[in-house]
Amino acid sequence: MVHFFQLLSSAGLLLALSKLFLKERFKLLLDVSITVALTMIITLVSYFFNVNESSLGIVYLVGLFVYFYTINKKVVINILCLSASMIIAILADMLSITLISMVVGISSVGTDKLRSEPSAYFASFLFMVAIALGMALLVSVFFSKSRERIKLFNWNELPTLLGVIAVAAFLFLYWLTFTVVSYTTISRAILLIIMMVIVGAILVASLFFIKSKTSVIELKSKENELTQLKMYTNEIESMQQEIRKFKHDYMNILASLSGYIEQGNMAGLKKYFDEKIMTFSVQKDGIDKTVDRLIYVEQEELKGLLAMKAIRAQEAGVKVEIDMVEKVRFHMDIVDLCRIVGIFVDNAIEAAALSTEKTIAIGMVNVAERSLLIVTNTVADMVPIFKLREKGFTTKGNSHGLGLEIVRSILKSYPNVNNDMKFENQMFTQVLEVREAQ
Amino acid sequence: MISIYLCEDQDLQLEQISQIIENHILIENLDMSIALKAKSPTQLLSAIEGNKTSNIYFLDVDLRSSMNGIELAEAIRKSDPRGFIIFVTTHSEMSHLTFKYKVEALDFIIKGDLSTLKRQVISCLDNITQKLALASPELQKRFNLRTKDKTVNVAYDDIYFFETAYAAHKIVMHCKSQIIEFNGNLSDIVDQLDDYFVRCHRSFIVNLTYVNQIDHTKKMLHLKNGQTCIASTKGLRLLKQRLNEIFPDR
Repeated sequence: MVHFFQLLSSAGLLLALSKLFLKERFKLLLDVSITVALTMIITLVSYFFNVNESSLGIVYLVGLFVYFYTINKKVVINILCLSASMIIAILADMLSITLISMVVGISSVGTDKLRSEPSAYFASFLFMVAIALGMALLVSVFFSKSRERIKLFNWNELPTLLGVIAVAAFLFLYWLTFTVVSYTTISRAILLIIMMVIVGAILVASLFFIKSKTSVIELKSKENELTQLKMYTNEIESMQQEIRKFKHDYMNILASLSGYIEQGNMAGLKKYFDEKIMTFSVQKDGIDKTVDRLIYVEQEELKGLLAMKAIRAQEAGVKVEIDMVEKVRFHMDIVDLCRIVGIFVDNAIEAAALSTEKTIAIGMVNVAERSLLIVTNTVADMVPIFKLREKGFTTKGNSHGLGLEIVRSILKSYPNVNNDMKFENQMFTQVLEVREAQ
Repeated sequence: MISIYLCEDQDLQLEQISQIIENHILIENLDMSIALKAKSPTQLLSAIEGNKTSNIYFLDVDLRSSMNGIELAEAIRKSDPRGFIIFVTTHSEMSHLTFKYKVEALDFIIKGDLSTLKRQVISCLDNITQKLALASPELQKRFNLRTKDKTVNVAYDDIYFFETAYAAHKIVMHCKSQIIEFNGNLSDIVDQLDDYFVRCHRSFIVNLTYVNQIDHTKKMLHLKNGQTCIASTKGLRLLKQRLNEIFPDR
């Protein structure tokens, strides 16, 4: 009976620890019944086949792994958490037995002997649970801090191998304590210390590993930020250049006017004014009108981007219509939003430039709880629409075709955003549909 | 009989358009009639209040009132989500993306001389007649989804397949000339569709009409347009069973 109780308790401890690591919810009835069932199996097998129950621990591991797998469908993390909890349970068990044996004064330690002293056994059990929970909490705190980073681990790499070797070494030592070494307190204590050292070494090693990984990742994200900043300054610079060019044009025109005036050539002045300045201001007006409607864009960065793209489109001989009648705000990270819109508009301008109509239109509207951004352009040829979502597909040279893939990868982290696209009447339309986040 | 509502603040324009419409109804013997020639948005809104039918609306964009045509259309949409809205506008107020995406307007008419106005009004009415004919129940083989988030309406024949995509609960519908994303789950959708649509995989629903080839070893379906779908063993079984039901001689 005590034997059964011992098995049951260790199974329960194993399950509890693993759940703690996996951050799974405890389901009292299910958990207890699974523990009891597994223990029954082991007890029956060891009773009928006379097998050492400690080697039957594998039944627990397999059983619990299957149980967790049905819950969360993960393999690696389950195996890791189970091994971790097993190591902790075993360590705690040995620590408690060793210490209690010392206290009680049984010189040669053995579970069998301890079992004959129910009070001592019970004390060692309580002690074991306390140690195990303490260690588990420590480890889980350690891991939860690096949980995000762990996701970035490539488990195929060195640490997996190291982990497997360490676990194997640990298990070998564990087996040693039960078989080869005579049961003396000292030798057990030494073995115990070696094991603790191994476990400590694993923890420290993984800590260093994670740290080095994180620093690499931080470096990368900093680099990313830097390139984005560079892109942004480039855009601003080109905007400034645009203004400078405009100023330059303006000065030239005024200078040429003064030439006509000095000569008193009114007919020439009139002709020049009608032909050059009027058309120029009409052109300029075109830009102004589209840019006027951008006052409804609430996000400054997006407004700047669209104004610049409008100018760029007009340079490429593409007509731009901005269509807004109300204030619109998109609930997305501004950098992500600008990247996506930039890609949509760039694609639209490039495709429109090849068509005969050469027109793009950008619209933004609120509908119920959504904000829509619509980019349409005239096209020369229609391609099968699904091709646009294929990796690296492009109607242009090799360097293109990444844009829409970038859009896909950004949208992966936005469940509140949909992206529709369609061909209709020689027009291609991209719609970005952003729901207000709940 | 479908009612037509007009809203235009200028008498001349209002008369011109209503004349064109009335003439066209007479000539073509259409099942329509002008119900109201409103000069202000409030007049129109009070007329359709409590009205449950689907109507046709010709709305001026600039109504010189507290409400413009687009806001009026938004108010109309609340009581008549499926009605046909047509905007009448000048070139400089043109806002076709807003018309289309904000209030799902059917079309717009640009003010001009009488003959161009007439041409545009008639093309709108013909378009509506055609749409109504298509909406008749025996032809209504369309996928229709109307949630508070999104309205989707596509003919079954235009749909290749549905897949659950790169983000949770997001469904991507691949059609002949468009790709539409919306939130939902495939089980609900497959129940709504007809027998030609088969759940060939946990994350795919395919339209049998477009299955060109079945690759049993790789468990892939090659579609007629060149796309591929994944299939599961169970899905393939279901697919074959359905094919036998629909095309017993093959």
